[in-house]
This record gives sequence, structure tokens and C-alpha cells, in this order.
Amino acid sequence: MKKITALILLLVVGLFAQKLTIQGSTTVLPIAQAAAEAYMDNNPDADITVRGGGSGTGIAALIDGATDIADASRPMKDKEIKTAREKGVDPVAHVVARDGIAVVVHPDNPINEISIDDIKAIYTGEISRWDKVGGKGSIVVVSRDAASGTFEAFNELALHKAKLTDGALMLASNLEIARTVAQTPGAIGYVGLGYLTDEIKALKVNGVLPSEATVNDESYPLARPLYMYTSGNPKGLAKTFIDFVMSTAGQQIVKEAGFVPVK
Amino acid sequence: MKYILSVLLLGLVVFGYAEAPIYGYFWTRYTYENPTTPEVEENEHYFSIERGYIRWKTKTSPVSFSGTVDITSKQNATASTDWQIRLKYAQADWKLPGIGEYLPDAKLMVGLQKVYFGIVDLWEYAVIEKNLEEAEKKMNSAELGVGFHSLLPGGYGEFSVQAFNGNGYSHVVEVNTNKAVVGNLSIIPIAGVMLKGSYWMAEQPTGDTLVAQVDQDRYVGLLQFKRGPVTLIGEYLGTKDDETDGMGYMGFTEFALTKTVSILGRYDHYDPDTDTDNDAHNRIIGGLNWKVSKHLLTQLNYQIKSYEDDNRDSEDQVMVQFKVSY
Repeated sequence: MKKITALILLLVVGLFAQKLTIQGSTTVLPIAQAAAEAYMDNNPDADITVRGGGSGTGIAALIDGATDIADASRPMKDKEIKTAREKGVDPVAHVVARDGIAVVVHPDNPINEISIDDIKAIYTGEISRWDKVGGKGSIVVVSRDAASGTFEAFNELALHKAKLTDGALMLASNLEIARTVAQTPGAIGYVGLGYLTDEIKALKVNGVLPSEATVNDESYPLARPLYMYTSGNPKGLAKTFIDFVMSTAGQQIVKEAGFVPVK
Repeated sequence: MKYILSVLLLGLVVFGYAEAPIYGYFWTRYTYENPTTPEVEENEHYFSIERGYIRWKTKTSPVSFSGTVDITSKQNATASTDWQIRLKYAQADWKLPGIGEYLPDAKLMVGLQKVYFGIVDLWEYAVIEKNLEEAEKKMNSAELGVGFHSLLPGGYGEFSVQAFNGNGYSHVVEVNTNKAVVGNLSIIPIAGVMLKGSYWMAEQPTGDTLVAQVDQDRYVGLLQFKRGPVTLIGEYLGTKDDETDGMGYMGFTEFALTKTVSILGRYDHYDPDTDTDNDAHNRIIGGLNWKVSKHLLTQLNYQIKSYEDDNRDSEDQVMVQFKVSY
């Protein structure tokens, strides 16, 4: 009898549990995951599912009604906004954090700074040796895959949409890039600020080192806002969750994840 | 055939160069219908592959290339000649620099491309039947020519202007002195509400033609509402072939019962000659869609086509279709 009662209680709780689905950018993923865990700790009746997949995937899911919140490391494209509006979805952007895209090299690499023009020349294949920018040996170009929001942001901010060299090593996550650069003396890569470790060296870009201060004051050139998109103004659990992310506690989570708080 | 193979080869070269992913879908259909010929008394039923798309698109910029090969089988296909392979789309898109700020995604399109007209470019076979314009053979979904397409800023819609041979994608070779011109404008004033107008004009060719053609005018007014589980579309189609005026309209609705199951209904009316009595017809469709997985959509449709002429019997069809995407 006790088992049946427990089962019924479980079913009732399941029926009345508030559910929220979050999907999208792998850059925003650590923020969303940590915030969801903290929120559910304080609100046991909330059931929040967080998935990655990339900004494009999350936005497509929001347009198709398959997710409540789309995480994105870039603003929605005009075509996506048009498709969303056509399908009855009015996308509303919430800037929850800021991110600096750090250009990283192996710690043994002697260079400490680089210009945007040189980054572009390296990533388009125009420069293939470190000698041309003050280092030594061949350059191993490491990039995020073209589907990621980080790639799109880097492609726009640093490469000005020029074609990436065919020789670039395309990796699926920030973490993989950090690991590969840490293990490859001639490598150059780029990662979100949250993925900087002692095993890789962040370069000054146009004379500015990526940091919370330089991202917030917009002096660091490879910086971007991070978004959570909702369909219309958020309601119910989506609203209370985003309110939580924007609260002091939520912004502390943003900071602990290695990103820059917006409040 | 040589043309198709050449384009295929070109596509594969481009694919290899630009690492364009290949993707696509095919529709397998079972149809049960009343006899299409008077001599046959029993109802007919058959399997067919109505469309099989193999697609690729390069990620190159500012010029990208895309193509679609369409493989179809005739009813009860048994011989190799019952199968048809044809090129549906083969186009180059050139994103125009400098004007993207004012006209987002502005591009020039060259080749065998999508026709932006009425519901033709929006129709994704929510019910199995073709859209009204194509079902009445008043428009093709693809044409050979050039075009300009742009979004309106802020996601408020899109517009396009295109010039074509005007014979669709099955008769892409044509010699004539007059081309078809089509203009299209859609406006989304608020999310979920779209107003669309399109106009097609083609003058009778004066040169040597491979396909008989007369002066054509086509125009469409369309209103679409989408919000949550509800989709409503109303469309009015006007046609003029030489001196013959025609008109039709379509009403379509879809209601999503769950995230994977929806019920659908559609009503078409078309009168090919408004000056002639007893020549109009109606089409009523009821359907159920079940999205079994990300890659499989199952559709069940009942469709009846009835005629204004009392001497003509109505045509009934029950269709089950599986759309597989990869």
C-alpha cells in the first residue's frame, strides 16, 4: 500500500512539476547548467533540462517550439528572425553575460601579442609560419567547427567573414581546442574566456589582454554578449529562471563559470 | 541525360572542393483510389516514390552553390523507364556586398531556382497534395533564370524579382524572345501574421519554342496566421491564359494536438474559365501527421475531388506517406 501511495505521489508530483527546456550554445552551456542546478536546488518542483548543440540548433528549436529558451553566443540572424516571426515566434533577447574570445597559443610560444590583421592572415592561410609574427616554426591552426556560435563570432570579429584555411583543424568544443593547443607547441586557437587555463597562453589582441575589465569596457576587440532567447516576453518558469540568472546569485554563477557578469 | 550527368559531376566537384554536406529526403506513398479509367471497375492501389531529393549546398562565401536531384517512380514502376531522374534545383547565390545593412541577406540567384510565388515557395507538403497553383498546373516550383531576393530589415518579410524561361524545370531548354517575370512581396507586421502578394507575367513567345505557350497572368493574395498549435492559411489565385480568366482559392488549417501529432484540413476551389459554366472543381482534404522521429514523418490523407459538372464522378483517394529525411 505504501508503495502504491508513493507511486501515486510521484505521479502527481510529476504531473504538476514545472518543466523548462533550455537548448543551444555550448559557450553558454556552463552558465545554463550551473544556473539550472542552483535554481532546482531552491525550487524542487522545477524540472529544467539543459542541452547544448550550438547556437543555430537552439535557435531552430525555439522557432520549432521544441525548447523554451535558446542559448546563443551570437545574435539571431535576419533570416532566423524572419522565419521565427513567420512561424508566430517573436524572439526576445536577454543578454545574460559577456564573453571575450581569447586567442591562445602554447605556453612555450614566445609571442605575447598579435594584431587582428595577423590573426586573419593566419586563419586564412596567408601566414603559415610563426617567424612572420615573431615566433618560430610552423603554425598549426585550430578552430571551432563552422556550426558553433564561437566560430561565427570569431569569423565575424577577427576574420571579417573571410574563408578559413583548408588546413585548419576543426574541433567540436572549446574544451577540445584548449586541450589541443596545450599539447601542440605550434598551435594557435581561440576559446571563450571561461576556458582559459594555465596550460594555454592568452595573447593580447591589438595590445589589449582579454579580461573581465577589458570585455566590460569594450576595449578588447574580440568580445561578445551571450544571450538567452525566449518566444515573446518570458512567462512562468522561463521568466523566474531568467530573473534568477540576472539576479546577484545568477551573475555570481556567470562569474564562477569564467564569463563576465552584465550586472 | 548528358546535361544531368554534367551537372551532377559539377556538383560532385563542387561538393568535394567545398565540403558541401549531402542531405535530402524521399517520400514513399501508398495510394488507394477509385478507378482512373472507366473500363476498370475495381479500385486501384499502389506504392510509389513520388519524390526523392538528393541535395547539396556549399558553405562558400560570398558565392555559394546548391543543387537538388529529384528521383521519382511512376505508378507501379516495374521497368527502368518507369523511373525518372531530373534536376530540380541548380543555382549559384551571390550575396551582394555593401547593401546587407539595408537589405539583409540580399542575393542574386542564377540557375534553376525556387519560384517565389504565393504559397509555392512556402509549401512543405503538410498535406500530401501539391499546393493549389501546382495542383492546377498554373505554376512550377522551380524555373531556369535569374533573380534577386532580399529580406526586409527586422524580420518584417521578404521580397524578390525573378525572370525565367517560364516552362518549369521539366522543360528547361527553350528558345524564345519573351521571358516570364515574377515579383513577390511578403510582410510580417506582427509575429505569426503574414501577408503576401505575388504577380507572374509571361507574354507569348515570338520565336521558335519547344513548348506551346500563350500570354499568361497569375496573381495571388495570401494571408497566413501561425500561433502556438494553430496554422491558418487563406489564398486567392487569379489566372489568365490568353483571353481566358480563371480563379481559385484555398483554405488550409493545421492544429497540433501534441508536439508530434497534428490534424489538418484543406479546401480548394478552382474555376479555369469564369465565363464558362459547369467547369469548376473542388478538393477537400483531411489529414493526420505523426512525426515519429526527427527523420520520419508519417502522413495519412483522405482526399476527394468533386466537379461542378454533375455528370462527372468525384475522385477519392486514401494515401499513406512516409517522408524520410537524412
